[in-house]
Amino acid sequence: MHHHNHYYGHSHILARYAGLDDRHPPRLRGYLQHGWNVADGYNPTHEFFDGAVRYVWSPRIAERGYALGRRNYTVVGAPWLYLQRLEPELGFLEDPETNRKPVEREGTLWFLFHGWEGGKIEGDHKRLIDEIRETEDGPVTFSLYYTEYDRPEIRNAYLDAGFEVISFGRRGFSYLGTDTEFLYKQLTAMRRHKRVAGNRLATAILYGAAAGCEIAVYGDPMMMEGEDPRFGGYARVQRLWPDLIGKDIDQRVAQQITREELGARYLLTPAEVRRTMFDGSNE
Amino acid sequence: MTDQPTYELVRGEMRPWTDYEGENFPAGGPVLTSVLADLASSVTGRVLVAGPTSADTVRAVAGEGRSVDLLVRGADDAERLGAELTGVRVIAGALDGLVADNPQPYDLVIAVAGVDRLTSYDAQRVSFADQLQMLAGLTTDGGVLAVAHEFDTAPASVLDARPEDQRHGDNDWRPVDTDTTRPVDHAGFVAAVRAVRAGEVDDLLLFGPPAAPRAAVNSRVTREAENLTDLLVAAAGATHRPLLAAPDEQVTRLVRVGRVADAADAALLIVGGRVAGDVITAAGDRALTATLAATGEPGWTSIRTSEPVAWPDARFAPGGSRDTAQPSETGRYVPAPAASEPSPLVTVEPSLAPSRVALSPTLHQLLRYAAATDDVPEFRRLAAEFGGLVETVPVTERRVLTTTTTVLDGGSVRPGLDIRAWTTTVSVDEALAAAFWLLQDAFVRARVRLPWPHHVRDAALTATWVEMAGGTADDASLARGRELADALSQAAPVVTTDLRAALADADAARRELGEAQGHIAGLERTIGFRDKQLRTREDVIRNLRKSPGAGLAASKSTGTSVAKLVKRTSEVRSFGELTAGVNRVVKRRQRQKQMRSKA
Repeated sequence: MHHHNHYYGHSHILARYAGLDDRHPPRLRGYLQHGWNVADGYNPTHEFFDGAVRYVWSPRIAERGYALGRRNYTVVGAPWLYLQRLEPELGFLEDPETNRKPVEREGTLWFLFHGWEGGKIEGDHKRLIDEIRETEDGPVTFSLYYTEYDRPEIRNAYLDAGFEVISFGRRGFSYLGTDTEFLYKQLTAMRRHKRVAGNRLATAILYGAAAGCEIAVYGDPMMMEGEDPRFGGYARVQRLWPDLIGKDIDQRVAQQITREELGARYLLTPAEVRRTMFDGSNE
Repeated sequence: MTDQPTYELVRGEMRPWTDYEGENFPAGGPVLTSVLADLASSVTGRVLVAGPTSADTVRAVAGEGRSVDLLVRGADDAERLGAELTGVRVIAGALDGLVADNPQPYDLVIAVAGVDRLTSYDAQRVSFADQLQMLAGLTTDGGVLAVAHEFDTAPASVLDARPEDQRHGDNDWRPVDTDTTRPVDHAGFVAAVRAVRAGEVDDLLLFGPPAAPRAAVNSRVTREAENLTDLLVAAAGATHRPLLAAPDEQVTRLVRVGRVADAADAALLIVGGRVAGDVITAAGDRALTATLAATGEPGWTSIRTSEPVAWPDARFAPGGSRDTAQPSETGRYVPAPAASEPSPLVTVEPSLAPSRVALSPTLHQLLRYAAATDDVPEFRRLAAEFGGLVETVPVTERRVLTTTTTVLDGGSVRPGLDIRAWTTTVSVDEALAAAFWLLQDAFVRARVRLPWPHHVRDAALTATWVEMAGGTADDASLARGRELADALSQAAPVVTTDLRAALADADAARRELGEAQGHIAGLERTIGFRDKQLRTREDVIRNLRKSPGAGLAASKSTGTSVAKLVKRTSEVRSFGELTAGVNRVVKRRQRQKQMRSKA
């Protein structure tokens, strides 16, 4: 199994959905798309091995990959949607054991475009904070990926602005350090917020829409060092999905686009996941 | 140096992607460029060139006060073309992206790369019919629409060796055959265009790679097109598809019965405009345009030559294996077929364009009929006519003469639609050898039934024909002729080793194997006889050694008897014969002995 399949606990979620060991998930027969992008779902320098299947979220992703000369795409939908099927109540209730009162959604969960292990973001955080204050009515919870969370100058900027600052953990690397609860925590947080916003249209925004939040994309999209321009960069994202960018967007349109991009119509049954994605080599 | 963008963006641009390299090449080449330049010259105002089109072709359309917009889907292509084509507005994106921008209507809309190449994976998912509607909607009320489309029913497409899911390469991200509004033949395409645009339609049937056709024939001269069969077959053979068999036979038959549209690889429909000429064919990097004589002697007249234009598929490289996650490892070590460069021995000379070409079969067709029907006298006569032509053409003219580009006109052979010339002086014998080497190659490739035995092939057959034509076929001129023929083949379509040829070769190999086995059996049998013969003689000699005097005692003359016996023994063909002989001799001796004792 490629170590990317472990990112955010994706393979753990799929194993659980398929009724397999989700603590030590069996091997996936290929490469699972681990984030949304404007290309074929993988980073431009991703390595692939012959015979491996590319499990992607939506047909559009597969089509872009086909045009790149790549084959063996299978559309399976986003693991996030499988998690939502597995956890229909998570985060919705005050306490599933003692207090099953539905939580009242409030405030905005704000996602700063995050860097990764190989690149840090650069931008004017002060200006972004001002714009968030001007825009958001309720309380703002600021979600930082650990790459930014661990940089005090960034974390403190948002703490000093009076925002609650959280991080869902690490996605892991080379099978180590993966917080398998990453997406569980994110789902819980999203289901408790009314609105999800960010400075770039990215995976978390689509997850927010899928979790029933209003979404908004605004502010300085910031730069990431070493960003690969070959797929057209964020400018292409803005041209392709203008309906999802802005402070006040049509939420019905956002829901439709999100369903398409996350492949809501393409989710497999547990038996199909077992058969299609896991090869049973270490079940 | 500035970083100003050289192009504009509309929705649906593709990146990374190119329609200008490798497997994909833009529409263009001498034939299309000549047609479009003529067409554009009658139009003023705004022109849209939609889809990947070669820079040469766009330049030919631009000028004379026309403002040209070029729409391509690859962002990298747009960037490069924007820098290359000054005065042309280059736009990257899909057709629906351009339409969404609501541009001013165009006086001429050109989509010679086809409607399929106006969309992208990020475009709206619209059908072929809707795309065509969008394209037609971009023209002004009296505007001209020129749109091309390739046919899945074309002979080269039907004979494509690849399974359907691999025929469109990386362009097939959404399988094109799932769109039921997409026409697959000429009739369907004409109907689809008429459905979106009323008006008079000029219909050019294209032969060869649809984006870079080698020949175009107006559908109004399909009756006369039979005389162009060799030209159309050669054009169709320029396909880049791997083929199960050469399309020659199908194209020939369809053209013969007047179904030229069914034989064509694609068509260019022009609504609201007319193209000059009825036949446009490529000669090297130029196009020859000819018109059917309206009055007087029937034939192709008004033959003119275009300016040179580069072939957009000159660097075509077939796509590699796409079945695996990465391109095949083997592909790293097996070099892709190199694009063939035109031979320096051949050039084109516009002054060689004939003023008129008769509506009659080519010499190649006539020689083929004569050969296939065992009519050697007729073949000899035609070869002599050809020899006469080669003899009369001034050596300094350096005109290339082949059997496919010469026609029989009023009983004598004359040059056809061709302007190729040698770059070096070529003697009559060498020119004849070159022409007949090409004929020999074509006949062998097409497996034409020939009246000469199968061991008379290659140089032997070529020499025979050269001599029939009145030439001298010495080794030097045959070798030089081979070199010249290869130079002409290099400029012509690449011949694919196809399945039909492979099956025929396998069949021939099986037959040869059976014949060889029969031959071996015969030899074994002969050896067996020889072996028996030797053993018999050995036995006789042994017997003689055992009792040297016994057989000879009664003999009147020992020396004579021994000599006789040895002679007889050497004539013995089998053991049985020897035994019978010996028995006869013994019995005779016994009878003689008995008679003497009685006496």
